[in-house]
Amino acid sequence: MFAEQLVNGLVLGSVYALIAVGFALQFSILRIINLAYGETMMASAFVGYLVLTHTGLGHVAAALAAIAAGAATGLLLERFTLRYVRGGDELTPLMITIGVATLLTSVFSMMFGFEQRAFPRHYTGGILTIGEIQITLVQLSIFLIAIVTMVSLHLVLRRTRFGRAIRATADREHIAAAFGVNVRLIRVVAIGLSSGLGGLAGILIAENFGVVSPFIGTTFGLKALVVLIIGGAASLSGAVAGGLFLGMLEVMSSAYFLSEYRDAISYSILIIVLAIWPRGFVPNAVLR
Amino acid sequence: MGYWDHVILIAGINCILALGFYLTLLTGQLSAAHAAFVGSGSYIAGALAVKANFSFYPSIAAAAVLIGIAAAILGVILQRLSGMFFAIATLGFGEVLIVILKNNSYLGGALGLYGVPLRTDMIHVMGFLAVIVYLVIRLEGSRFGLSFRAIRNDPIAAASIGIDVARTRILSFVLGAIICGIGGALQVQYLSVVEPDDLGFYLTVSFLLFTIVGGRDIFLGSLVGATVFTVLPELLRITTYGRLTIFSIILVIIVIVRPQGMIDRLTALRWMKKIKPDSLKARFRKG
Repeated sequence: MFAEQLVNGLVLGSVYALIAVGFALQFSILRIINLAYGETMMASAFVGYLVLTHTGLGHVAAALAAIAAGAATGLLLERFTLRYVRGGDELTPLMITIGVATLLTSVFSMMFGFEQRAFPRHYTGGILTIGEIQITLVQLSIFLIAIVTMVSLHLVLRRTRFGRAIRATADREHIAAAFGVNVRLIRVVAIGLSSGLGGLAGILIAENFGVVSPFIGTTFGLKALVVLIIGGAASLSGAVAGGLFLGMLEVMSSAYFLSEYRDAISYSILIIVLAIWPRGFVPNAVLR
Repeated sequence: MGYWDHVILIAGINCILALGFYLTLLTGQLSAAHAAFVGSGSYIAGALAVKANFSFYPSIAAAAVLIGIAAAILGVILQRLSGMFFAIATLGFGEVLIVILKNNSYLGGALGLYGVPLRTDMIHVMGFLAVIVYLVIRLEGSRFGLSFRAIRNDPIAAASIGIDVARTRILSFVLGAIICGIGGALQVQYLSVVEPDDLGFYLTVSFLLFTIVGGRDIFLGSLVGATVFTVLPELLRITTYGRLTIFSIILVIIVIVRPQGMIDRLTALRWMKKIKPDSLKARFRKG
């Protein structure tokens, strides 16, 4: 029983971590809190849904389509809105992303209706049994995909020249530019990459819960923001720690306490954590 | 009462709420708890009216006092937080309250509190709004009010000239919360109903629209923002289909065209003839 809850917490936590990593990338490079991030995930999940239901292609194609859709949403957001308000108050881009979030929700609810839709999952039947733990193949693949994605992102950031340019931009944009880093390109890559991660997270969530609706965006966008903040706003390790922390907390509190109080418990603990560590688990980090 | 009377009354209440949020934002605190304070103000006044037969003014006073105490406690707990960390912690406070209210059958559970007597009318709303606007103007002009702005612009510099940053921040949080509590108490006695989800993130988004898009530098911005973003959705009702889509596109365009807010401080001061156009350059040169 406990081991199973542990697995559930790990799976949920790895998805949260994946969302928060994308968020952290945008926060540290573009200096924005992207409240349209949850809606980007929702839009990508719907694109994946369309690929699954209207073409004969499988889940891998759907995931790739979702990643592409997420990246495209992020790039359009940057090109047509965020680019015009650079360099000002950080609350201005926040308001723009709120507007875009509302836009995406309203457009998708006009196209797909207000009800949630069942997300087709072929291989839910597969169950892996290790000792007394049972893991569905969906859970296992979600966990593996999230881990592999985050590890490869970490390697790109730490081991490649381009990753070093990204970290330099996050640290001091002007100095990075003075050393010949193409900061504009880095910004575009950062939002494309992070929104692509958002698209992947969106379809993984749809696979995990088996439903997709125009209104999942706000819930997961807020959760990601919470994870980001617990972790320390601009650090990848903090985002992973925060994601696993929140995933575990939610699963454990609904398993061992009253499930209707789940959110109350996780948010109370959030307040306590912030009262003790006012700048998150990994304060003042720059994409480490 | 006609349809547009209704819209104007709601706009008046939203102006009161926006001023509460604005006052706290003036010290640079982005609070998601103010939405919860509005909802709690509604719950307190509503419950006292329904269960204990409180009359109009005592129910509002009780809401203001209780919200003030709650805000002071929360402010002290969160005094070391700033920026987005503060915003998220206050968001957490609202979410906790929502869950508690949803599971509290005495206060109506998830369906909310119904049947609150309808006692707020236009005169009450405009009266409270006028008093609050007057108090905000007086506060902003005072030394105490100027220290709010100083803290927002640079907390370290403010501390170095002897401003008690933590205490002033908590006070601005409490003052804003009390105004929001009063607004909530007025609102519930007009709408007659309050639900747990009224405390949530959506009201915070409205607050951001009112104050940030309206103009975060001067109280007029909040008033204009609250009025515009109450009336605009009503005007867009003529389209019925895709109302929210048009609204969000207009919002994005406004933010891109006026990133500093619809009413910024310079424009407002020029309107009020506090600055002559030719003295503007001199002010800029001084910084």
